[in-house]
Amino acid sequence: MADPLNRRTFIKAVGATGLLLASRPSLAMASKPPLGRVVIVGGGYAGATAAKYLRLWSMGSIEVIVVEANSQFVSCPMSNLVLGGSKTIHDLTFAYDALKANHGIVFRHDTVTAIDAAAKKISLLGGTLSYDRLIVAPGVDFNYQDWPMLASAEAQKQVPHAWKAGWQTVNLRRQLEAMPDGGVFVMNVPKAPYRCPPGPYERACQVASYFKQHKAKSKVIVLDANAEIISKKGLFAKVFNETYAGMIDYRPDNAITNVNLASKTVSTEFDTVKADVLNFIPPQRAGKIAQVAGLTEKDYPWCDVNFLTYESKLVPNVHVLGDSVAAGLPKSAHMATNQAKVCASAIVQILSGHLPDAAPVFANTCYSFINDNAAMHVANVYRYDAGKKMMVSAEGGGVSVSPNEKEGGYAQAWANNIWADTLS
Amino acid sequence: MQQTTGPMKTASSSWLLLIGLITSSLWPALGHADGVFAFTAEQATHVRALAASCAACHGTLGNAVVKEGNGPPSEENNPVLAGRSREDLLSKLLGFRDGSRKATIMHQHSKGLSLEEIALLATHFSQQKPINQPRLQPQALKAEHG
Repeated sequence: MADPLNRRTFIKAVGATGLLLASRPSLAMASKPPLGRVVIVGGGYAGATAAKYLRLWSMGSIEVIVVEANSQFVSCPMSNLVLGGSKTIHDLTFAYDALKANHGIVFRHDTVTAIDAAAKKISLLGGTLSYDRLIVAPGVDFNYQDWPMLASAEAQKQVPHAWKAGWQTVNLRRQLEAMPDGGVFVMNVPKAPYRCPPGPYERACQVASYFKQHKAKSKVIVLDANAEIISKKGLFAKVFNETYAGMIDYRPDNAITNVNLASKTVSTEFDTVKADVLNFIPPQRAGKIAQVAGLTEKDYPWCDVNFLTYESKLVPNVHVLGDSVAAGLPKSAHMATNQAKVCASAIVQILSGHLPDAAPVFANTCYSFINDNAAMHVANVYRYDAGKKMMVSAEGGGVSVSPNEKEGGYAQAWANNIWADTLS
Repeated sequence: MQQTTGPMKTASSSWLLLIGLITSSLWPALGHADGVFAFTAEQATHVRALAASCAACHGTLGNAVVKEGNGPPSEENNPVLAGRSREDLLSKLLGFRDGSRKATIMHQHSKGLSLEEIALLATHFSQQKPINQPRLQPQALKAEHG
C-alpha cells in the first residue's frame, strides 16, 4: 500500500539518519572536519610545517588552507651555495604537490590584504576565507624606509639583497661571474635581529670560496652594523683570518650610512668603499601582513606571542610563526619549523578541548658552509621557562670544533631531511 | 652492543646502570601493558613536538631520508630512528649525554634534555614504523617567481 504519509515519514527518517551519519567524520569525507578550519598565511618553512602537522596530529579532523602567493618553494638555507657556485637555484626549488596530496592540504595561490579578527575572516585579492584559528607566517619584510634609492625592483637589479632565495640570488651570482679578477665584492650585515644570524658570514665565505678558485686577486669587504660577528663568532673569525686571509676584509661596527647607486659606492661613519659587485641586505621587520593586521606594536617591528601556543598577544585566535616572531632566538628555518610544530600541537589540543603542552622543548641545529664541501654547526636545545614565559637556551649547546667535510655531509643531509619533512 | 676494550666496557656498564636507574625511577611513570609502553596524555603531547624537532636531521617521525635503502649512516643517510629498539636508542642517547659515546652534534643536544625526555624520545621513536623515505626532488624555478 502506497501510503503517502508513511512514505514521507520514511524519507524523513532516512534523511535524519543521513544527517547523523554526515556528522560523523569517518563516514562523511565531504563534510566540514569536526574540529574546525585553520587558515595559514604563508607557505614557507613555518607555514608549510604547521599545515602538515595540524593534519597529522588531528588525524585529518582539522581542515587546513594555506594562502601563498608563490606556486613554488625556494629554500633560503643552502642558497648562499648558489653564490659559491656549488648549487644552482633549481637544486633548492620544490613544488607543493607532495604536501597537498599526502596530507589533504588546500592551497590558495593568492595574497592576503586584510584580517578581520572580530569576524574571524581574511580578505584575499580573490575573495574571503573564514577561520576558527589563523596562523600568520609571512617571514620578514625588508624595510627600505631609510634606503629609498634601493627600494625599486630596478635598483635591486643593480644591487640585489638576495636575502629571500629566488631570482635575486641568481642575479647576484651572475654579477659575481661577470666581475673581472681583482674586483671588490662589498656586502653588509644589518643590525640584529635579522633573518638567519650566521647567513651573512656564510655568504662572505661562499663568495670568497668562489674567488679563491676562480678570481684569486679579488676581495670581499664585509661591513657589519653590529659590534662583532653575531653567530659562530670564533669559527667565522678563524675562517676569515686563516682560510680567507687577505681576501675577506671584515669590518665590525661599520654600518652603511649612504649608498650611491650609480657608482656602487657606500659610505660608513669611517670608510667610503667602491664596489664592483654590491650586495645590500636591508634592515628587516615582521612580514607586511603582520604589520597591517595589528600584530606588531607601533614602535617594535616584531610580533609578541605566547610561547606555549604562538597565539598573538595582541589579536586573539591569530597565531604568528617564524621570522616575524619576537622570540629573542635565531630566526632560522629549523626554529621556524619547531615553532610551527609547537603551535600545531597546541591548536590541535585547543580545538579538541584539551590543554597545550605546558613546557615545550625543541632542538635546533644550524649549519654554515665555508666552501663547497666543509660546514660547521651550532646546536642547542631550547626549553620553555615558566618564569620568563619564553623559550630559553638549555644546557649543553655548542658549536663545531672546526669546519670539516664530514659536517658538510651532515649539512646536506639536514637540508634533504628538512625539505622532505616540510614539503611532503 | 659488542664492547671488548676496557674503557668501552666501562662505558657500556655505565649505560646499563643509567638504564637501570631510568627503568626504576621513570618507567613507572610510563604506563606499561602487554609489553608496550604507553604515554600519559601530557607525555604524549610533550614528546610529539619535541620528537618532531629532530626531523630536520632525522626525518618525519624518525624516518630520515635515505639514499638507497636503509643503509648505514653516511653523508646522505642520517640515522633512521623509526622502529629501532628502545634500549638501543636509550643507550646511545645516554652515551652521548655522559660523553662515553663520541658525537659530532648529539652530545650537545642530549645534554639539553632531561632523563625523562630521553626516555620518552627513545620510546616514541621505537614505536614508529620505519619506511623508505625518498629525497624530495627539486624542480626548475619558474620565471614568475618573486
